[in-house]
Amino acid sequence: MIESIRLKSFRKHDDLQLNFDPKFNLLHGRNNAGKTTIFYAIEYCLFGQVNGFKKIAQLTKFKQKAVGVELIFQGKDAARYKLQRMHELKGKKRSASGYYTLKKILSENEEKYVLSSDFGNREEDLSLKLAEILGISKRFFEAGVHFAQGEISKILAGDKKLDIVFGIKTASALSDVFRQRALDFEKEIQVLSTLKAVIERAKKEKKDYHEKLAKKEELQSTLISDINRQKELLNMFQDIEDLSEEVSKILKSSTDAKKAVEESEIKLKMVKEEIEAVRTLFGSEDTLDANYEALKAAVKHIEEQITQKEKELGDMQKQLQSIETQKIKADTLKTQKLSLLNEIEEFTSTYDTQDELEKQYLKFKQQYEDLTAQLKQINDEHSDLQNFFRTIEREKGDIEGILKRRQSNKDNQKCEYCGAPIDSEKIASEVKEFQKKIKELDQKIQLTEKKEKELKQKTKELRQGEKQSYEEYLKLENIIKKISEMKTKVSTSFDQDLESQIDQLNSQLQTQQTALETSTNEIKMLREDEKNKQKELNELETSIERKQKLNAQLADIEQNKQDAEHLFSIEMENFVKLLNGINTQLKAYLDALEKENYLSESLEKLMAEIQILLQNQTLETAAQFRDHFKEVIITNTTELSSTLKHLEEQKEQVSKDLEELKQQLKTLDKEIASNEKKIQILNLKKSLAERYRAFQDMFKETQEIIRENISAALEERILQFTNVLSSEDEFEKVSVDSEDYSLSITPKGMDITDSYPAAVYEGGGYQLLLGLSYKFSLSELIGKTSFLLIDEPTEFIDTSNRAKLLSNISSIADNTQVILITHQDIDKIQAHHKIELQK
Amino acid sequence: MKFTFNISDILNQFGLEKREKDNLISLFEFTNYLYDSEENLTKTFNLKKEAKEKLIEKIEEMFEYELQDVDHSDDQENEEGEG
Repeated sequence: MIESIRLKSFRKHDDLQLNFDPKFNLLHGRNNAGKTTIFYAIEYCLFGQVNGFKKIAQLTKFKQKAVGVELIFQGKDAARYKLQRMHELKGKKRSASGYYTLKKILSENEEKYVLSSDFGNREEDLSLKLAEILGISKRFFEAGVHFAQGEISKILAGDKKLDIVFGIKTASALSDVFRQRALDFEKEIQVLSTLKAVIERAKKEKKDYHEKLAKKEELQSTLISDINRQKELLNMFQDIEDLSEEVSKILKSSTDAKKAVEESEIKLKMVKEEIEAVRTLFGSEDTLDANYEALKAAVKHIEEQITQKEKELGDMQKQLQSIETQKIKADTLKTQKLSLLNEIEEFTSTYDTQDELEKQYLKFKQQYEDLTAQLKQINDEHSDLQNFFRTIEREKGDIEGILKRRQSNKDNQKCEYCGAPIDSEKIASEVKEFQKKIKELDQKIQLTEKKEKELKQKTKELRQGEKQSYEEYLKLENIIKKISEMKTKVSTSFDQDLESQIDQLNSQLQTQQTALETSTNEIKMLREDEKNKQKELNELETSIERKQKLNAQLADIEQNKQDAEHLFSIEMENFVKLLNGINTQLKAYLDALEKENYLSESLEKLMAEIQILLQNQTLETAAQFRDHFKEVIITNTTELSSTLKHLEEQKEQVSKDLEELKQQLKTLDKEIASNEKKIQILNLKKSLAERYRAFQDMFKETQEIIRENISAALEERILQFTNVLSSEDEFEKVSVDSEDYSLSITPKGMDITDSYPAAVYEGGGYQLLLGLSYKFSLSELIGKTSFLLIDEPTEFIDTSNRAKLLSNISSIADNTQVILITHQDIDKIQAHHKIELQK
Repeated sequence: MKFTFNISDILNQFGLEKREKDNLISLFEFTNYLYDSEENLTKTFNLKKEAKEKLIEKIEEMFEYELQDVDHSDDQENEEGEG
């Protein structure tokens, strides 16, 4: 039962809230008031779409971007629910995104969420929930809840889709699906017996593998024990092998010590022979030392003599240097003097004598002074001329100015001083006079300029002469001054006896050089003598050093010999100890072998050799023992190692075999487990197949039950509703075709075996009556819905019967809520709630 | 007694256990829901392949969960083995 509805931007309604009565509701209003839209809104809210509207945008008010409907209703469980649905339109294509929320209303202020698209619930969840709480699906809504305007009587011709509404199609589909599913499983379980056989075989194989595994493990254990024993023997023998190394070491050091003793003896003999040879050469060691000391003293005396001579030679060289320096100085002075005299000679040679030079000097001096006086005079003249020239120029400028004024202002001439008008004739005479005067002045200027030019030329010539005279005068003055200075220098700087001094110095120099030469020769001879003596001394020193070295060598060799003899005796003692040790070890090893029931002849022979060697300790016998000992050890070690290697190879092979067996067992286990799981799954499938076969049959039977009963049930109800809606008892019988659900009628008085198709019977009023009866029957038969939506059911009904029909329909509303739309006879109809929609 | 179409009443005739019956009613309603939409139907009003697959998924979910459990236990064993 619907309690209320609220529409937001739904078709023509902006925001409309309507409340409904639990029984008969009349929804009325003028055409295009939006009455049918209310039914669309209910359908939209329940199913998210409206039959006949492909897009949500078609349900949305013009220019709005969202549409929504809220429906409050009471469910079969008597609980109140609020269903809200809305769509948003996005983009140019106005594609819609929808949301819904179903809440249970617990009290006025308390609600509980049941489903919501915001929580991830799908449309499918809402449909199933509505089927549960309202008992309607979309198909049922279309067929048995919503009586659409103009569609009511169409049902009389039947509708194949009623198979869906009645659930016949559903039962058929389920029967098919279960059959197919059962068939699939039945095919799969065919391999069940084969799989069981495979498992049995695998289990048997597994048992065989376990037996093999136990045997291999036993063999592995035996091999490990053998290997350990063999390793113990090898370890024992390893100790004996170490002793063999020790024997070799001791024998080597003993042999080395013996060899060192022998070598020392040979060296001693050789050194002694050399010492004897030295002794033979110098008589005795004392004579050698005395010769050496005498020769050393002689060398020292010669060195002293050389030192004395070298000192004298040094003094001589100093004196010689001093004389040479004095002589160089005297020679330099002489050169300078000659140079000055030559210069004076050069200066005076141009003028014959020095008096002539002085005369020339005075002449140029006088000439210069005369020219200077002339130039001064010409300068004065030039200055006067320039003053005169400027005066004439000024006078000419004044006259030219007046003349210009007179010529430019001929008609109104005025005196430039008093401003009085001037007679023009007078002006003309003045102009002539002025022009004449200017001419005269020009001539004067020309003359003056010519004269100035001449003066300038003369001044130029005089200045040139003055310059030449001045240069000559200065040049001669300098020469005279220089000659005077040089003469003074010659007279004051140079000694008059310079020549004799130089001669004396040359004589001293010669004497000193001769003495120096003599001294140098004497030193040379002394050095030769010293060299010979030094050579002799060196030879004696070498002999003494050699003698000392030989004595030292002799002592070292004797010490080495003693050390080697000592070492040899120690090594031999160690060798004896070692032999006893080897004997003990060999005995222990032989005892161990005996326990394992082994015998070793070579080792027993070796022990006998040790006893002989202890009696007779020579290096030769010891060496023979060492070689035999080594040989025995190599043979035994090789034998032991070979046995050990063989055992370990065997053990490795057994380990590999074991690993392989374990791997095979693991694979078998996996295979068995996998197959057992498959069997478990197949058994489950077998059980499911059996169940599905039962379901298949069950839904097939359901389909038959519905089909068998539906026609009779419909017929019975249609007849009843026809009688309720119309007071006239018109029909003998109605029948519904079980294939296409079309309705046939047998009117009263007609043979019961005859019938008419209801879709063509009589007029529209009868068809509407039968159609309403059919629809009410469907509604009751399928689910006894809690509300019915009937749109304009009185079409084609005459006025007299219209009110009666509506009244009869309202009687149906005693058990089911009816919301009916009409726009006729509103006042005549009795309704629990009338709702008028304004246009 | 008047015949009333009610799947629960019809299934009562087959002596099913309550759980099984409830499951079958749910499945029936789900199939009805599939039939509600024209998109799921062929021209002769049968279910299209995609709709049938949805129905099979529902059957698997309702009746074949034990098969999934066995498969899942296999995965768990493998994970433990690796761990």
